[in-house]
Amino acid sequence: MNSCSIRSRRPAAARAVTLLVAVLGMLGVMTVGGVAGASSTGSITVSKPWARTSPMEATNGAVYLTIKNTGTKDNALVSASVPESVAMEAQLHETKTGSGGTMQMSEVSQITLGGKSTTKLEPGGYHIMLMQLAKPLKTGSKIKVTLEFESGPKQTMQAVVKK
Amino acid sequence: MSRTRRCVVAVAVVTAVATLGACGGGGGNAGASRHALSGVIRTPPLEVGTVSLPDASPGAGDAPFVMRSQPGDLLLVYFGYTSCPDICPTTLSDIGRAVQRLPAADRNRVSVAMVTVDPDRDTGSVMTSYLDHFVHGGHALRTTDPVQQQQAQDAFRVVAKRVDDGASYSFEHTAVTYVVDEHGTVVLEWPFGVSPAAISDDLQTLLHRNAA
Repeated sequence: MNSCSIRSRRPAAARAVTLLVAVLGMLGVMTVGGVAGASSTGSITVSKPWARTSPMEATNGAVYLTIKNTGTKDNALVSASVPESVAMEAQLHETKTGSGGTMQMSEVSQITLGGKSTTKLEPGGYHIMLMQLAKPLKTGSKIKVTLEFESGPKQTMQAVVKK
Repeated sequence: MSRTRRCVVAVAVVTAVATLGACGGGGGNAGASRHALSGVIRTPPLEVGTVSLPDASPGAGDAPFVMRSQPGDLLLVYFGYTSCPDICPTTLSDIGRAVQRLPAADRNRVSVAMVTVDPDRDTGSVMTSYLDHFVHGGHALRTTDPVQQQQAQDAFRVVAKRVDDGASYSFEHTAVTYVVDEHGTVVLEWPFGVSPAAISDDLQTLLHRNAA
């Protein structure tokens, strides 16, 4: 398998990418801190909130974001909410790869945010599912999303709608 | 903690499949292309040229759509449903972006068909507008005949299981995009998570190989 050659090259490249991402991430947080797109309270920093633009016919949508827990203790995202003008309900969901390569989506009661770690809600993994959209999510618009954590205050941010 | 770990495992599986695909593609296509394919080549490949489903796109009038591309072109087939908030829109968005990245001459040599696994909610008009949001001129394939649906799914080795959740329901389903040639042979399969750039590169490789 020639995957071995790929794998052997990976660590150095991965380290460089991780460093780059870390630096860019810090720059990003410093630049947008206080701006609608990012939210930070105590040990929890939420960044890059976005939602996928939805066609007129779509009844459901999804919000993705990155949560950094700088505290040493585990925390958890326990709920998410959006105004009724956006969707009827927001649920925490996880898409998993099931047996035979199928993708299975299910509601989860919470998303654990390990101490000193970053958790990404991204396509194919965790997401905030918007049930029964009130209207289509238009590219370029923003939706208000409020996150509630196991410990620490709620955080509200604007997720930009992207294609 | 366990959930975080599971998520990591899922991502790792997708990455592993994509890596495996890159290797398999590179070996099978050596010398014929400029780059290794990111998709997976199944041996022996799936043959779907005898499968046909009603084309519910406007103007098609439910005419049978046969799972073959135009001569020398490629047909991309995806099984999904429009109420799916995560995997389906992500996949269709990735396909749309991949096609947009192609040189103009190659772009109209790729057609896209979505087969709904949820014909109760996905009417022809719902599917067509949904598809148009991501790709231009996609084919909305829909049958209300469970036998015909099962035959199509079996040919592609697609599993789709309805999961009821109170008042609503979703589907656990295979999230692979299939590349079908003019003979009805599935020449490549992309698991979920292959980037638009990689899909676009694969399409160009296959289109130029087909033309050769």
